[in-house]
Amino acid sequence: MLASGLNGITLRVNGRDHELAVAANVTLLEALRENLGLTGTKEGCGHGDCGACIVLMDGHAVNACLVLAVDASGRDIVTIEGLAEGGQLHPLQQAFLDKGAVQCGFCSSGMMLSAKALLDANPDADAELIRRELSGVLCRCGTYPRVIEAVLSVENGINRSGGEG
Amino acid sequence: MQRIRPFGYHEPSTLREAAELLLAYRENARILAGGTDLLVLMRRLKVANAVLINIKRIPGLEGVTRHDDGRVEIGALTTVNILESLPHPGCAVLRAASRVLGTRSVRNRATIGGNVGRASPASDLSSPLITLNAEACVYGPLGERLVPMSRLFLGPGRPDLGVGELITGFRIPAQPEARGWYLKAGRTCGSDCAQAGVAVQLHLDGYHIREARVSLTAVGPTPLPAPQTEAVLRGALAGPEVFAQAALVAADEARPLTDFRASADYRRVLIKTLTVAALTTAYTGECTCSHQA
Ligand SMILES: Cc1cc2nc3c(=O)[nH]c(=O)nc-3n(C[C@H](O)[C@H](O)[C@H](O)COP(=O)(O)OP(=O)(O)OC[C@H]3O[C@@H](n4cnc5c(N)ncnc54)[C@H](O)[C@@H]3O)c2cc1C
Ligand code: FES
Ligand code: FES
Repeated sequence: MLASGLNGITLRVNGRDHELAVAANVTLLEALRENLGLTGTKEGCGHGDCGACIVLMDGHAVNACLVLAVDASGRDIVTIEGLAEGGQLHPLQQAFLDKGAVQCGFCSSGMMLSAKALLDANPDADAELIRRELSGVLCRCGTYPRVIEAVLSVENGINRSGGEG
Repeated sequence: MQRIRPFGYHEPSTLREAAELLLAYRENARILAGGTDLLVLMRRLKVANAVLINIKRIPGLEGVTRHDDGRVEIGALTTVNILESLPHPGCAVLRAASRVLGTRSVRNRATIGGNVGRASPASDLSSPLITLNAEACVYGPLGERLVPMSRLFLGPGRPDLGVGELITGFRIPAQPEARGWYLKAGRTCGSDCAQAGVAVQLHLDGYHIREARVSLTAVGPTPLPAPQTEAVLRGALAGPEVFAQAALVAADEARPLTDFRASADYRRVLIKTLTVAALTTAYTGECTCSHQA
């Protein structure tokens, strides 16, 4: 711990290291949004219930509102801003667009990152498994059927939706 | 969103340091494991003047070890997602419970030590550990001791731990020829604590139940061992008749309360239904449905 009661941490976000000094009560969610300006990660309930704050930590989906920033130090964090590469949307992002799986968009980063973690581990996930693994993300706009459709249309990182419509 | 108020914070790197900190801060000291329970309570201002002792820098508290003789040891910091794919055949009851605890993102952080340590009657892993005759390994200023899971809970939120003590892991004895299962009912499928849950472990001798262990979730002040239900099963021929009889006794043995999740009456009905289903699934083999209740 630093003398001021702040903790020096290294947040590795979307492949880039950031040196930060944070108090122990700062969550990963707050560090991402306020210290790093990465507001794609949303702030909903703060209690682990809604999934709007989900990011990937070492490849696993976690609720950033329930992770202290000091506990994320040195871990590999991926946020929604890290999904597109070289100006190219990630296949999941493209599929969400193609299938109209985004309405207001508040849940979309949690949905897409949860789906990414699932497909990375299990590229052949069926609708039932997708439903179960994404059940921690609540969508007030009711896009669920289209989200499932979008995730199903992506397999092995290849967006198959275009051709099959 | 309500922010988490500032708190004292320590990252001990040994068990001894952790015990010293727990001793120094006494009732204000809180162990931080996965934080999926504690940080919610802190944000809701249910915990005041807390000093958090983050035990995740202490080496050796994570992971599952299976010994040649069938004993299994699970470190307190092992996360629930790891337990979802526990390969040990006798531990299906714990595996099943891990799969229905909270949501994917909660299971990725939540630890078995935190689940048991919060001593909630609704903790999904406590009843399975009781039916496995598991012991909690406790470390403290006076050294180490083993506490049978069936005796670890004094009341809601009150584990039988002395000042300065923490749980370092769990020991599960070998479970030859044993079959178990866990079922819970919640208001929603996933992401809710149990309205009621039933853990069963049957030790079989052919078609006969040599020994049975049953423990109930969210229907008493603590995770609730069900000795009368076990007595009905012990020595009986496994099958629908004795399972139905055991379910009636389990519903009777439950001590449910009414709260916002369910009424006491409904909880009794759930215990009856879940007991038959859990016993049947345990006996006939693992349920292949991807989710339950
Ligand atoms: C959306 C959501 C859904 C949930 N659903 C469920 C559910 O279905 N079933 C369920 O059982 N729980 C559920 N929970 C509650 C919680 O996630 C789990 O109980 C979890 O296992 C707690 O573990 P943790 O490591 O996160 O605990 P923490 O929050 O770190 O700690 C919990 C408590 O245990 C104490 N503690 C932690 N480790 C130890 C130790 N080694 N020794 C002694 N004491 C210790 C802490 O001091 C604290 O009081 C849910 C939580 C959320 C946010
Ligand atoms: S803001 Fe984290 S789960 Fe709702
Ligand atoms: S699109 Fe609005 S909350 Fe899901």
